[in-house]
Amino acid sequence: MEITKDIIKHTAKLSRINFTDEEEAALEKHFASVLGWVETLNEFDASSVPATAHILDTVNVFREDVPGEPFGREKLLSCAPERDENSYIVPKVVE
Amino acid sequence: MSMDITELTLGGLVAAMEAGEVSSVEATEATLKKIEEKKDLGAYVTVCGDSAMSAAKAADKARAEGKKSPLLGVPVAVKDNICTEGIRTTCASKFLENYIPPYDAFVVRKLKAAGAVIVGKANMDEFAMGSGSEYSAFFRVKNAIDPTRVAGGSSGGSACAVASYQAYASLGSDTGGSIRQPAAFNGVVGLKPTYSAVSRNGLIAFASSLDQIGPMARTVADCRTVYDVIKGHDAGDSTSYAGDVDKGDTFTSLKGRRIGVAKEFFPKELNGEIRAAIDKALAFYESEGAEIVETSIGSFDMALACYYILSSAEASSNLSRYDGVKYGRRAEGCVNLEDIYYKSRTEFFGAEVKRRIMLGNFVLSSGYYDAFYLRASKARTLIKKDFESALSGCDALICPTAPTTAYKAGMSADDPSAAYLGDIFTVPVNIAGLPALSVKCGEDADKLPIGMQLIGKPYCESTLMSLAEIYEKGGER
Repeated sequence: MEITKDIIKHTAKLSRINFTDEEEAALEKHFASVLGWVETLNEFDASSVPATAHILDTVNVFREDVPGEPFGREKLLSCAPERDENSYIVPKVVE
Repeated sequence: MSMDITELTLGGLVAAMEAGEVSSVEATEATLKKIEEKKDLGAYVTVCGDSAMSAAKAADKARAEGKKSPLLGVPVAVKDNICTEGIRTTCASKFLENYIPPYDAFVVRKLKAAGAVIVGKANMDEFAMGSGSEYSAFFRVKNAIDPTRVAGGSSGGSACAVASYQAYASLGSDTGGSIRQPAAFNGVVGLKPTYSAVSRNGLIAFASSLDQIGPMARTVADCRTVYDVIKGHDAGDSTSYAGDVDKGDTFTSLKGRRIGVAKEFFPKELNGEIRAAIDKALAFYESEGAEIVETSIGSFDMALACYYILSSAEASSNLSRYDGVKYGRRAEGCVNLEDIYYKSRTEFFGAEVKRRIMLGNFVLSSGYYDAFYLRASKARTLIKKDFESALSGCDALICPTAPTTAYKAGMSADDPSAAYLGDIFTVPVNIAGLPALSVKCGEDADKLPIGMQLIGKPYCESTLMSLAEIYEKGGER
C-alpha cells in the first residue's frame, strides 16, 4: 500500500504529536520501509488461524476484594508537574 | 585484598565477604570509584552513592549478626525503566527526567530483600526502544570493549556496567532482544526469562505482551543467583505465572541432551565469523555428548514484521499515558488540555519513540487494523506453534544472538528501519514468550565478542543455564 502525507497527518493527530514538514517526510519514508517487510505476513492463509494476544492461557485473574493500604495522596501528587494541595491542576476544560 | 575487588565475580565477592576478607562497604566504595573512573562509557543515568553506602553498611551489619542471603552486600545496577522508590527513574527520556517513583518495582523489592546494594540506574534507549543505546535522551552508552562502538540495546547500560566492572550484576528488560543483544555485544551473560516468570510490576511498560525483566552478569552462575532472587509469582502483576516456574533441569553432563538447529537461523548472508563461532560451539556440544538435531521454524521470516507491528501497537497504547498531567513533565505555556498533550508529547518524546508511537497508532487505526495488527496477531500464533514443535524434540535451540558484532556508533541514524534487522534472531523469542540466554562463544577479528543464543521451553531457564555453564567451562570464549 502507498503511505501518503494524509495518512501521516491523521496518525499524528491520533498520536497527539506535532511534526514539521521534514519530519513528516521522514516518517513517510520510514513507514514505507517498515511496511515493506509486512508483505511477508501476506504469505499465509489467515482465515483459519486464530489470533494470539499474549502467550499465556490465563483468561481472568481474580482475587478477593481485601482492603489494603493505598498510596498516600501526597506521595502521588508529588509526581505531578502542576498541583495544589489536593489535586492536579490543568487549564480550564469547561467554558 | 590487593587485587581489584570489582573484578571478582558476584559469587567470588559473596564468598570473600562470607570469609571476612572483604566488606560490602569496601566493595561498594570500589564499585562507586570504578563508576566515576568509567563515567565516559555512559553506563549510568543516575548513580546513587549515598543510598548505596547506607545499604552496604546495613549489609555488613546484617552479616556480622549472622544473616545470610544470596545478594547480601552485592553492588548491582538496575535498568532505568524499573521503578525505584525515591530514586529518579527516567527511562532515559526527557518526559520522565524528574520522575521519582513513589514505589519500588517487585524485582527491586526482591533485590533489596536479598540484601543487594543498588549503586545506580543504568542508561538505555529511551523507553527501551532501540538496539544500540544511542537513543538515550541524555547520552549514549559506549561499548565496554571498544568505546567507538555501540553497547547494544536497549539494556546497553546494564550490559556495559557489568562488562566494565561497574556492577557485579544488573537487571535489564527485554522486549525484542534488549537483554540478549547488549549482553552479546559486551561479552557478558544475559537471560530473558519466560514471559510471566518475572513480575513486570514496576517495569515502565513498552509492549506489555512482550516485555520481560531479566538478569545480566559476567558468569552463568551469577546470572542464576540473580534470577533465583527475582523470579516467581506476584499478585501485583495479573500476567505473572502462579504455577511452577522451575520446569527445567540442572545438569553437568550433556549425555542424552538434544540441541536443535533450525535452518532458518543460518541465512546465507549471515556474517561468516559469527557462523563459524556458532558452528564451533555446536561441535563442542556434540563432542561432549549432546545430539545435534536439525529442525525448522517455517514462520521465521514473518517474525520481524510481526514484532514491529505488535510491539509498536502496544507501545502506542502504553505511551498514551504520557499526557503531562499526573507525572512526568509538562511543556511550558499551555492554554488548554489538548495543548498540554500536543506540546508535552512533541517536546519530550525522542524521534525513535515518536516513530514507534506513529507506527503503532497507524496499524491500530480504523481501516488498517485487520490488514496489519490482526494479521500480525495471527502470525504470532504460527510462530508460537513452530517454536513449540521445534522444541518438542530437543532441550534447546541454538543460534546467533545477533547477526553482527557491535557496530560503530552513529550507523543507525541514517536508516532507522535498517537497524531493526539486527533484531532478527531475538524478536521471535519474545513473540513466542520463551526463555533465552546469550553467552559469549568467541570473538571476531576485531576482538569483539560474539554471542550465542540458547532458546528453551517455557519455564526451563535452568536447562538453558546448565547448557550455557557447560559451554562456559569447556568451550571457546
